[in-house]
Amino acid sequence: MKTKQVILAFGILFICFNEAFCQEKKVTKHTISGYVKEQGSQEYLPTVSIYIPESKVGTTTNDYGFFSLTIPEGAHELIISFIGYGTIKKTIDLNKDISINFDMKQETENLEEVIINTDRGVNESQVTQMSVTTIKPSEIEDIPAILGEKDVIKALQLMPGIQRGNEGSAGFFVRGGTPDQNLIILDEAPVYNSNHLFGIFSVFNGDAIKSIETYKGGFPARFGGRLSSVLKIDTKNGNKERWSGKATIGLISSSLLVEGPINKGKTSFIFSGRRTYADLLTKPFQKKNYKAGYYFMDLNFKIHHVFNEKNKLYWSNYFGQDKFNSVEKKSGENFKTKLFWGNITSTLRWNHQFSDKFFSNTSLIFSNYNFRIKVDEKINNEFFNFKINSGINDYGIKTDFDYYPSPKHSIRFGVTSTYHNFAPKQSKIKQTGANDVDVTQKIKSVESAVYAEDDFKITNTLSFLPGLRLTHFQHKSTDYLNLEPRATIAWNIKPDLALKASYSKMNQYIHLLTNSGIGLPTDLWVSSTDRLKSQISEQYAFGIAKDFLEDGYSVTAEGYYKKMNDVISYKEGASFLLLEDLGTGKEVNWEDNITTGQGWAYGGELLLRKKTGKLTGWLGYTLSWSERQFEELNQGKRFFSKYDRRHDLSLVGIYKPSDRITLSGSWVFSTGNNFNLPDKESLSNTNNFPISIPSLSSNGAPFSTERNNFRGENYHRLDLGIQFHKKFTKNRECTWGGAIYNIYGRKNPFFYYFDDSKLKKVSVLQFIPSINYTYKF
Amino acid sequence: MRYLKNILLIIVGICIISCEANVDASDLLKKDQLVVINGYLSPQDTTLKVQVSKSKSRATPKINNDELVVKNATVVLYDEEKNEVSLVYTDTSFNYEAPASDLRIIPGKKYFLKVIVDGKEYKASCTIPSKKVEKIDYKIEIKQSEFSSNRLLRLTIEDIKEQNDFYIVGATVTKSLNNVEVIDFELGQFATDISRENTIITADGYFTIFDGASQNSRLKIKVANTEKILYDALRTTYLNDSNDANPFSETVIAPNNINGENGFGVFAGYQLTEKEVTF
Repeated sequence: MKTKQVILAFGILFICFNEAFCQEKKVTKHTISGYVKEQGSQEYLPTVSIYIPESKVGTTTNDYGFFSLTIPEGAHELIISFIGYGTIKKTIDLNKDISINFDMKQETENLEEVIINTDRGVNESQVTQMSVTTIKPSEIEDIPAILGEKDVIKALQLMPGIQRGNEGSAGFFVRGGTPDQNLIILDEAPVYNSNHLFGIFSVFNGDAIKSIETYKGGFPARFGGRLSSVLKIDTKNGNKERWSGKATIGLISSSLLVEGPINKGKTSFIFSGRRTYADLLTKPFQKKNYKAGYYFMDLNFKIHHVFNEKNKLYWSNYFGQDKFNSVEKKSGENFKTKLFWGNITSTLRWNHQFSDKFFSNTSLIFSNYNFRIKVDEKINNEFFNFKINSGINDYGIKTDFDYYPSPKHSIRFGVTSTYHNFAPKQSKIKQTGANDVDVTQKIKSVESAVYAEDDFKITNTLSFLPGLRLTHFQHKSTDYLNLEPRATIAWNIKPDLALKASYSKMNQYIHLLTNSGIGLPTDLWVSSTDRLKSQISEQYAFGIAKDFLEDGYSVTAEGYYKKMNDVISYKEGASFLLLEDLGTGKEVNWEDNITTGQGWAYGGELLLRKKTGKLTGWLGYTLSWSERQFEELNQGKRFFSKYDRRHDLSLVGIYKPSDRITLSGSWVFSTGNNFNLPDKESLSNTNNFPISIPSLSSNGAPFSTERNNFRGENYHRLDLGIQFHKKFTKNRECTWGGAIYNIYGRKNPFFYYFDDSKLKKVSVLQFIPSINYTYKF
Repeated sequence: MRYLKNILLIIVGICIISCEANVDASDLLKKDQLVVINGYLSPQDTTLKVQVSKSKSRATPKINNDELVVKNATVVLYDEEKNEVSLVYTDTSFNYEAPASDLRIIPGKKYFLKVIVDGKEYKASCTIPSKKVEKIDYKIEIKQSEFSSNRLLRLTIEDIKEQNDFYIVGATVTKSLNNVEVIDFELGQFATDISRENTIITADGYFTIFDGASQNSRLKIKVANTEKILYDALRTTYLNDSNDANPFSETVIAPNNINGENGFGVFAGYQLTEKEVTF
């Protein structure tokens, strides 16, 4: 469907519904507004339901805990509910606009009485939004993880529609997209490389995280810039009432979290850090003439200050780095290698409440990603030094407004602009007897957008979320201006059963050049240029959501079709940075090494989830197809993408028989990945050419005729975990945790190769036990 | 790239427990057998050659080249004027051959290949590049490579103007009658002027001259200006060979311009420039 037609259709629909349903009698109305906070820490709680059963109207708190509800004057009973917290019931006599705050008390999750009643709230069937996956930080704590490293992205990979890449990889693939098509936002700042240790761990240390939301489709207009998903992670603000913390000692890393008031009730801070220590532990055992080490670390630091009820400031920072170094000394020879990469993000946010219906947040955003290699070699009197780095610096400003004119409308609009400064390649080479080589490529661009969206409750059973985003991208004298219509419609057949459909169009001006697909730090981020347009996707999704409110179960089933245009890929044989050319200082333009094509992704997802009770967890199933076609790849023929998987199943269970023990397990099964395997050989094609190729290792030249020609064996694995908790006075608690990853030692394929006329499989990560100890204070 | 690859492999080796296992590939690999045809034409050739063979799965036991070659094919080359020549199978080279004088290969002209194997017909066409490299310079420096080689050969090729060109370079050093060293330019053996039109193409390769060795070594340099598909095909062979069994590198899909059922390979043209010097 063409964009103009879609906009026109939405426009007509919007006007019709307004005419049909908005003819209300004039009654005096007043506004109740305020904030919902967690008792004990004063942490603002997002997506809390505020509902009036009598008139069947309600709202939810925004990302900063703010709510506004305009209702007729008179006495009303408010029900404030949120999973994991005790429900608050309050009767108010409304005869003027009032401001009221609610403090919610956290309940022990395994208690049955936590089950929320039939309140309108944030249940799947009761919100307009579809294709969104939420996972609580506490669930991530409980799911067994490799080497005990609790990981946000690994937990999300267990959800339908969100697939893992290769074994152990923290990269994720949403609805047939690629990892670069995921917008990962940490406190409003984009994170470009979310991996540690070549993708085995993600950069998100779960300790400081408050909320995690992943959008797979039906994207609200406030998000843009990527084709396939939005992963929004917000960190805690820090406890404003008392000092608290958490220390964890694990097999490969330790972490520490400290939070507390700087000025009680007004200013708080939170600090969390994690570092691996394999490098420190192995140091004493290394040879004198060869030393090598690797570590990664994460630091999160945030300050929150409340000037007054209407003005608040948040300053969030993240610093993460992976570092490898090695030193080798022989007689007359000296080799030093350093390799490091990491992200830095910093966001300064100002919340301002203009009135009891009008809220704003303004953010100044900085995001940096940098990858560097430094090699120093000295052989006798000859030296060779090279430094290479690639990176991004983003400087952004963003203002979002929330306007709640009536219970029927929740309007959001805003404007954002980001200055991208990319350095795809900067290299310097110095060597004895040769001219110095200094190659630098820079791309500077500005990406801006304005948006508006309205969550419109047309009737008690029908809601409509239209949105429009206008994006602008500028590189040198080239401008791109694109309109992105979005819409989701939800129809409640019954109070707990909804049918939903959505459409969204997305543009992506930032691209990742990768030929490994496993999230290496060497993957290059570049932006659109005069030669390279934006990638575009259009996604249609439809689904059904059913909540079994009495039992705490929910079921969602969704189907989707996504068409992607101008997706990019390396050309055949092109590779990262073309280091081979650095030897001669030849500058090769990255744009010459990429090609654009089309993609198709379609499938269905099923999620059966149990949210409350002693046993919680979910069963997720995805049936999907993902295809690509490039004129310059695979001889122009359509092919299945690397992580095209027909079936993906995950079963996750968390059982808390008492407050002293937590048992957990997850089992995953998926169709094998596609591999590019040179599976054929014949007489070498170099035989009749008059120039020989000296370094060929074999006469029979291996080759393949199709991209992703080989589908590997099916993947499955069972992980189990157990935690023992012991509570002390003054909210102190210690936990011993143990987990076994891949408990039955399934040899899942990491990659395949041929050796001695046999197909061989290399498997990694079999039966990995771990243990850790956590102390909360 | 070698530094990075080594670092990656070391880290991954340290950090994860891995194991290797043989896989029964019988159900996983496709069993189709291809007819592989490779033929390259040049005005500088003295013999016209086309190779016809069948492919085999890499998961089956190794066999001799002799068993892969198709010996009973019909191979015909012809030009736009319908001048044609039939090529005859030659046991010693595994090729179908004919003297170059039987069909004149002219720069800029189009040629056609027809091959019949087991009653199935395969067709392809190529165009001979209109120009060849005219100017090749070289410089030999005494320099230690990271291995044992102690001489650096730096070739400089003047780009053919105003067109996209695809060069493959090579060189040999003959130090004595039986001592010939083929110089390895690594990936620099393949060079193109795309986005660097009218530039100077350079390629660096190392070789070894032992102290006290003859001062009359002969250097033979060859530079081919090829059709893109030939450049891509040979570069693919190089890349796939050097990256074989490397999990961090994607296999390159070999190009194909042979039309016909299960036909695969490259029929292409090139022009060769040679330069021989004594140093």
